Amino acid sequence: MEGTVLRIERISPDDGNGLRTVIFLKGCPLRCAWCSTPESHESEPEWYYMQSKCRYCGYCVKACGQNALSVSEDGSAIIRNKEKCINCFRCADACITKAIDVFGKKMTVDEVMKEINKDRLFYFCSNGGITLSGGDVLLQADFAGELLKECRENVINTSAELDMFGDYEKVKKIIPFLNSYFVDLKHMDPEEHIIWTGLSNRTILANIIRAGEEYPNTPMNARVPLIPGVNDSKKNITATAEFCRKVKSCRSLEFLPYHRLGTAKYKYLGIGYQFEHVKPLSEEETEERIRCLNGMDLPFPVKISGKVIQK
Amino acid sequence: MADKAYMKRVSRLKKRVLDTTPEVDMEDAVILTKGYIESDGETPAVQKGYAFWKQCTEKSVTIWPDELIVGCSGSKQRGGICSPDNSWLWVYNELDTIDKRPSDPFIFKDEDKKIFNDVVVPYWKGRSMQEKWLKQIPEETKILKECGVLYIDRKNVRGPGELTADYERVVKEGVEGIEARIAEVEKTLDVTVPGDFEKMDYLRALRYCADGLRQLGKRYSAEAKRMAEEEQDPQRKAELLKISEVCGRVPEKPARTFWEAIQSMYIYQIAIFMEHQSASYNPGALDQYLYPYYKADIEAGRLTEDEAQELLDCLWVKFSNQCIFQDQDTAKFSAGYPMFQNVCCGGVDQNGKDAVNDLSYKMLQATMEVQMYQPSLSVKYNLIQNPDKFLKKVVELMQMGTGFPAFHSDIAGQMMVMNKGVPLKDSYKWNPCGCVENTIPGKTRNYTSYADYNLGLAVEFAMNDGKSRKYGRYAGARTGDPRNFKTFDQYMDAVKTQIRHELHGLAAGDQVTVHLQEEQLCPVASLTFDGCIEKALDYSCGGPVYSIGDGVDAIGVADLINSIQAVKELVYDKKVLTMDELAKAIDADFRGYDDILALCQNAKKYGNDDEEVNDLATDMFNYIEDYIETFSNRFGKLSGGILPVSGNTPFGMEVGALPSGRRAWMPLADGVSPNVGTDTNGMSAVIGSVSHIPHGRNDQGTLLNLKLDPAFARGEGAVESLMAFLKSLCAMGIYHVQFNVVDEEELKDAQIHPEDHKDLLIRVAGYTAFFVELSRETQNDIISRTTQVAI
Repeated sequence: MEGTVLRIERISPDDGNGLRTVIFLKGCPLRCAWCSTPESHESEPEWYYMQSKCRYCGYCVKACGQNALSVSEDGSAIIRNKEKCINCFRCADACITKAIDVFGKKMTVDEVMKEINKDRLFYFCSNGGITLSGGDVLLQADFAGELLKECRENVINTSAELDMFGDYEKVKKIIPFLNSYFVDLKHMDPEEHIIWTGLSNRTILANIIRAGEEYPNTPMNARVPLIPGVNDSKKNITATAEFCRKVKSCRSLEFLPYHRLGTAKYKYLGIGYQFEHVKPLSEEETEERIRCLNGMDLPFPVKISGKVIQK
Repeated sequence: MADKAYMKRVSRLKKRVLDTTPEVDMEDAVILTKGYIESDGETPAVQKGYAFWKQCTEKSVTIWPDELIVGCSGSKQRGGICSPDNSWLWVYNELDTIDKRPSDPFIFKDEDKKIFNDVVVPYWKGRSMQEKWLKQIPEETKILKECGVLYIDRKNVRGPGELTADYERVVKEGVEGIEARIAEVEKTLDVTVPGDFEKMDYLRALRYCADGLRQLGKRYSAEAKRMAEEEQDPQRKAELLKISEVCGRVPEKPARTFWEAIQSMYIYQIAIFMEHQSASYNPGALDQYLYPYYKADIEAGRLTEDEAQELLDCLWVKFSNQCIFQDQDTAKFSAGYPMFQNVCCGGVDQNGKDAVNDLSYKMLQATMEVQMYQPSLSVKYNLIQNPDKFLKKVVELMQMGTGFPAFHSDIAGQMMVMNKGVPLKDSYKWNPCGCVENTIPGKTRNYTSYADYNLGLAVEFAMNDGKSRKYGRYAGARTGDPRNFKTFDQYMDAVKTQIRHELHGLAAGDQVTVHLQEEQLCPVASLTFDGCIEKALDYSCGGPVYSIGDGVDAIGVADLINSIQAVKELVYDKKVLTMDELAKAIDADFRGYDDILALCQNAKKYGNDDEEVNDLATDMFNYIEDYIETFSNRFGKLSGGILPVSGNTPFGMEVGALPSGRRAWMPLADGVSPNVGTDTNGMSAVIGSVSHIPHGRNDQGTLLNLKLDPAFARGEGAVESLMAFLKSLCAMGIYHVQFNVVDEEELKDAQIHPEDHKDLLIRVAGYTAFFVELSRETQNDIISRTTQVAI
């Protein structure tokens, strides 16, 4: 079976227990305004251009069979006509400096397993394993399920970062093969959720609750990307914690302060980024924001970027 | 730790070293020369023994303020002593540049130059090892040496080094015990039996050396007593009296206390260094052989934990007292006045069980507190036996960014020494030697790093019909015009032919060196090698129980792999280039060939855990090892190692552009590390690739430099993550790693304002030096080493 993999990050210390291989799947139904991986949005492999690496040699223009590429008038950039481009990526093959390249590639389960198995000693030595991430994992539920099953047969610990948007049948294809998982809670208010991500949170929240009922022994860890001015209000933070209390399998609630490390990728893709001006919260500010959870007597620990703040 | 009272003393001791500029010290050379003149007519062994004894009885015995552990090979702090029996010629040739050279300059006073010219040179002219070498070097070796293919002078311009004597024997038995061993053998000899005269003569030399050690202790004892009588400060007076008592006892007699054990070991250390000035005399597993004394003192209440730590810290500063004094070429290949006195902790005991004890932690603590460039602290981490608490302390020291410790997998080290022919039981005792080599204390005869060969030039010669671009001479094999290589296999054959040609010339030189070293005896070190007394045969003549052939070090591993890969990929597989185009671009150092340069640089590179490149590395280095092992000298088979010290920079200056996309005259890759800036997939991909080098077969040692991913250097969970990373590295069969965590800004600032960074320690390659004392090129190389952050 084939899936579209954005990239594979090795020995990540921050995505679950131990050192983990994180497999980023490509394609996402959400469009979170602060997204740090915009290159994961589209489901198919995606053309991009890093102007700083470009030598304007024109090899890509010559390689293109569709006349979709041209050098800009001032000679300082390669312009792609998206209408004409058929995503054959011959230009990327022709580019010597990898100024033009492709985000994501089609891989079979076996091919991904081969990469995963390179890291098996890291899993053994750290109690680590793999974490599926996105994009959105559910969008490729069949592929993800096959991959996770294969990992479990190889006795590799599995985790996933799930958006939980989509048909619950897809959730059922994945969670049975997970040792644990993360869910992203972006906003508790359905209207706000639509404004910031393009979609309502109703399905997401319902799926989370139901998964908690049906798989109570598969630990779920809730994560909140804390975005100034979006979801850092006292109201939203307490509502998030109250929601988590209702999920039987919830084992922790973690806040991840917004960062701007993905900004450059918006440029490579030639799309705008509306959060460029937003200043990340400092450690103190983050702690101050979630102070409202004090005294709520939550049945799970509260963390900021891996560090336990409560319990 | 700053609040510990003893740190004031340590700081003062340290400051004195830091404030002292290295200076040439002629005292040893002058006494040695007089000793030889007086004993002319005796055999070489007795002459050497007598001259050493004379050094011990006449040299200055200075005790500096605040010292608790005393002793100095020469007369000066940070002195460079000279062993003219090995070589005086280079000093003579470089007389006016020693104080100005870029790598490791020394002050050289006019009066010292005069003594050197008047006393030392006239006697040694025509007698030193270096002169004999220059006369006897085989022609094929000479051409390779002159064209930068081989660095092969190391053993011919200085003493043997690269050994670990059995310090424990001196500490435990004392000089008396060693003399008793000599007497046992003497009893069995009869001068009328053929061969026994030579043995009796050699044992006479050993007796001179043993007594020299005794006299050295006695003289420090007397000096301490004299100073105590004049000392006004009651505390210092008491310390001096204690020093006098300790040195009155050791090394003559067995040590009874921790202090005596350290002092006994250290006097033997300076004596070995006096005998032949050389790098890499390794005190080894101090936590094992000093532990009984520490334990007894603590249990008896004679010593507090802090007092033990203070003694160890004082010893640590002492290790920085000497500076290696070597010719400018050798200094380029191992810059930073490196003494390579390797001490280690951790590992297993004689039964293969966990050997970590309180002293293991105290050794790590000493390096945390003292932060000097010596001793080279190594850790032998045994994945199966050693506790996590120990690994945690190791990681905490790594994260401090001093470049220490050098981390070694104990099991990989055992495999290496076993591959050299050491049985399992003795393999447990191996210790890191010099840079990252390995040895067994008091048991192995082995030049672990006899010579280096240049793999970058093997690639160049295959592209250029054996001709050196720099010198225009045909130093390599005539493998023909590369345009005639119709298949990749033909190209590969040419590269392999060039490698064999280099190694043949190296092995030829080794035969001469081994023969010359038989006249270059080292009876002081031989006192504690199993077999030397029993056989009455010197270390240099194969006395030790395990006599092992010499080590042959590859430099430019990644350059070789990446160049072959680029040719395969671009010329033969994808056919995007012709050999003619590639050859022209390389001839021009890629000037005017930007496209070809970009293609070469973007070909697959070693260090990214790519299967094709990994397999190439495995195949090449098994091929090379197979070939090296076809050579033997009289001590055993030659074998490989991959440890550049800092030789990748000067070797790079001999090599033109390469198919890997490396420009002409730039540094080659160091050790088994990737080429600078070509590893883009993070630390796990690097070690994935590195694990494909056959480490066990490169049994002289393999060296890996990694800049530490910030995620593993600080922050939540970083200690655990780095511990897991190191365990994985051991599980993958990798032998060694060292981390650099200093950031680039700091290094650049140190180049501009060296005065602000006098104590900035940097791991160069297998050793640590003060950054500001390194040459500009070496500094630049360190700065440009890639920072390992996964994209």
